[in-house]
Amino acid sequence: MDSHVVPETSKVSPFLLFYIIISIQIGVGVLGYQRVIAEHAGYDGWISILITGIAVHIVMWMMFKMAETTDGDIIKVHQYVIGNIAGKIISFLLIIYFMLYILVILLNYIQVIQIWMFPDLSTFWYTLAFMALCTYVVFGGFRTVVGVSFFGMVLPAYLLITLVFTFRYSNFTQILPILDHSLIDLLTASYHMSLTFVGFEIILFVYPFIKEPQKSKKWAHLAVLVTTLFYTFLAILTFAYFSEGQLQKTVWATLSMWQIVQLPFVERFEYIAVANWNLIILPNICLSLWVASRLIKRTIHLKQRKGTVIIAAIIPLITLLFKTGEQVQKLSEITQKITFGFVFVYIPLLFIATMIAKRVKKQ
Amino acid sequence: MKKFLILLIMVIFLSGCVEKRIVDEINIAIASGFDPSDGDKKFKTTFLMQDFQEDMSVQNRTITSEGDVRREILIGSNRQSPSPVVVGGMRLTLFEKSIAKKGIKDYIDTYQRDATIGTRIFFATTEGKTEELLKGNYGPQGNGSFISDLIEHNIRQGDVPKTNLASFLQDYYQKGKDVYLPHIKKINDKNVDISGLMLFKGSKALYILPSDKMFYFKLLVDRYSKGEFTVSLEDGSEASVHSIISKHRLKMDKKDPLHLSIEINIKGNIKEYTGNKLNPKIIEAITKNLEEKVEKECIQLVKEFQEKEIDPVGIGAYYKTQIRGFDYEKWKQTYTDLSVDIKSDVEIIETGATY
Repeated sequence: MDSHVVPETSKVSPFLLFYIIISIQIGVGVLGYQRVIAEHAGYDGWISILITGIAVHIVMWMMFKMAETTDGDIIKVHQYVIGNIAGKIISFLLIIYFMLYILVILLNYIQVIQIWMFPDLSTFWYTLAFMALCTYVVFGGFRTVVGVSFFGMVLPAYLLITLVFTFRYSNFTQILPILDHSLIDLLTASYHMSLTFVGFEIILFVYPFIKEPQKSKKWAHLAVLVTTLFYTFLAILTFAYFSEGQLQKTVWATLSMWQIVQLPFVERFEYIAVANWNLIILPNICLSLWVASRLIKRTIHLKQRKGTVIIAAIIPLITLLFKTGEQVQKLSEITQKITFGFVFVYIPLLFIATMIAKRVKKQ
Repeated sequence: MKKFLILLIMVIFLSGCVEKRIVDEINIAIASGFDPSDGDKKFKTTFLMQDFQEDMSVQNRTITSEGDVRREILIGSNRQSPSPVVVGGMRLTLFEKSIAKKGIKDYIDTYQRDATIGTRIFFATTEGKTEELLKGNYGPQGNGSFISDLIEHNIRQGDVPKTNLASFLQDYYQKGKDVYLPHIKKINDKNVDISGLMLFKGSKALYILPSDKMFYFKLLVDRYSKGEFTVSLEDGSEASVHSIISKHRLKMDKKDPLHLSIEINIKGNIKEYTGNKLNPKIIEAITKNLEEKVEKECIQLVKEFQEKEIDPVGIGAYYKTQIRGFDYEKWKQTYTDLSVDIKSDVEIIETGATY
């Protein structure tokens, strides 16, 4: 059983990890994280983003350390620490984690489409179509998935430029006075920011697929730095454009900012942005689907293609259970807790366990 | 594989089954107006549509119905319209004076909740019924475009401060700042006029600032503004100065927070002069005269606002950025006691093409 040995031909260059991480981190969260952090830390919220960014760097360092120690993915780490069978059981639970991930992204995005563009869009059929597309991408193998994440980040990048239109209505002094909130407030906002940041834990799954993984470290850290700065920059733009009371009434602040964009050939830019967001969530779903199906392959030895189809079929069925925006909200909140627990609690604990196991094994 | 393809095609076509909105098959409301109801409903709404004629001109059509919530009105309006009325293309919303006096809080909610409405639309209050105003016949481009263009170019070049929905909402939800809207009036069937600015206290309209004070008001509230003003000199000659750029800065006295100074810098050109010849001395006199006039008018405005306990300048919002742990409740009392002084600095850059 050597299913974890990855042939050289399906590996990718180290710098591509940069695109993988950025494209999985940036998803639907970007559309509205500003309100949530401002709710807790007011217009000091941008400091909370930096705090979360630093935390992410630390966790990322731990993940690389673990992957290096065992020279493999999280399943190998689990086996290293708690043995073969128990390791596989825990790894199997991660399949549910990534399915939850896909579900939350899709449900939130569809909610946006339903509110902004097509109120009677069918959640089920849209999810099915989207999952069919993602299945097709995942069938192309890991390198195709990485290619999609490259385009998923590069192509929609122009959207950022259009936010320049808000400057005319922005008042940057609104973020003053800096540090008007207590440390507790800032940390609470940091916690709520974590959902927008997660996704980078994918390193623990794609690690064996990177050529010379040592070299990919700097790219991974650079990616997190870029997303941190991007979130901070966008938050400051948002805080300058909305007054604090107004932001509390705005669910998708980023989209609302596009409402002010005026170009001679488009009257309402936010529709283009919503449509473009398809491209941003595509790598999110593709990478998650790939990881989930890979986990199936590694734990119960089912062919990856079969695993992909199974998951892609289950997801649309689960969406049938969600009928109201409130339910989606609830699911997002639960997911927030789970992802926070996994990334910022479980992984550090696993890191400590790995380091102990390493010592013990050496002796 | 074949089955998969069929499934894929089905999926694509079925998920395409969403509500279509084809431009020719809908009625785009370009403007709306709220009036008090004649009957026992809460208000009366007029939607203005435009029918495009073959000769490129626009025919105005209005639909009026009454209701308690805006949605009810839309249904009522649809009963009078051959094709569905949509509000996504709205450019203007008018409030009759008495509606504005009662408060426009409930109306604002709709404009935020309905994502199909853009944030570049203009709000305005009107003297007289909005229904009458929208029913005029102002130009070939249609009434909706006419009035919104009227407001827009007066914001860009004239003395109306920035007040589209985006900046209105920003100020409305900003604690320590009150909102204002242009106030328009129908002169006759062919003409409308921006007769002043309606100043609000919270969500309720309070009073109208006359149009001759609007420029000074704009100097105080907009970060950058353009505008025109005239000064008369001692020798009886008059000069008209066009301000190209003006900035204002609020400055709290660090030692005495109860003292605020507002600096207004204006850079402008002389466009018209009725005296003999412009020499540096006269330019200096014009500058000085202008500075005094700006200071006098602006301080008067600020004092007036303090008396009426409204804060369209956003002095409260400014103080919030200067003091940690700012208390808005306390501020309400402090605001009226605040001593404000205004310093203006006028710089004449060009004097035109004649010597």
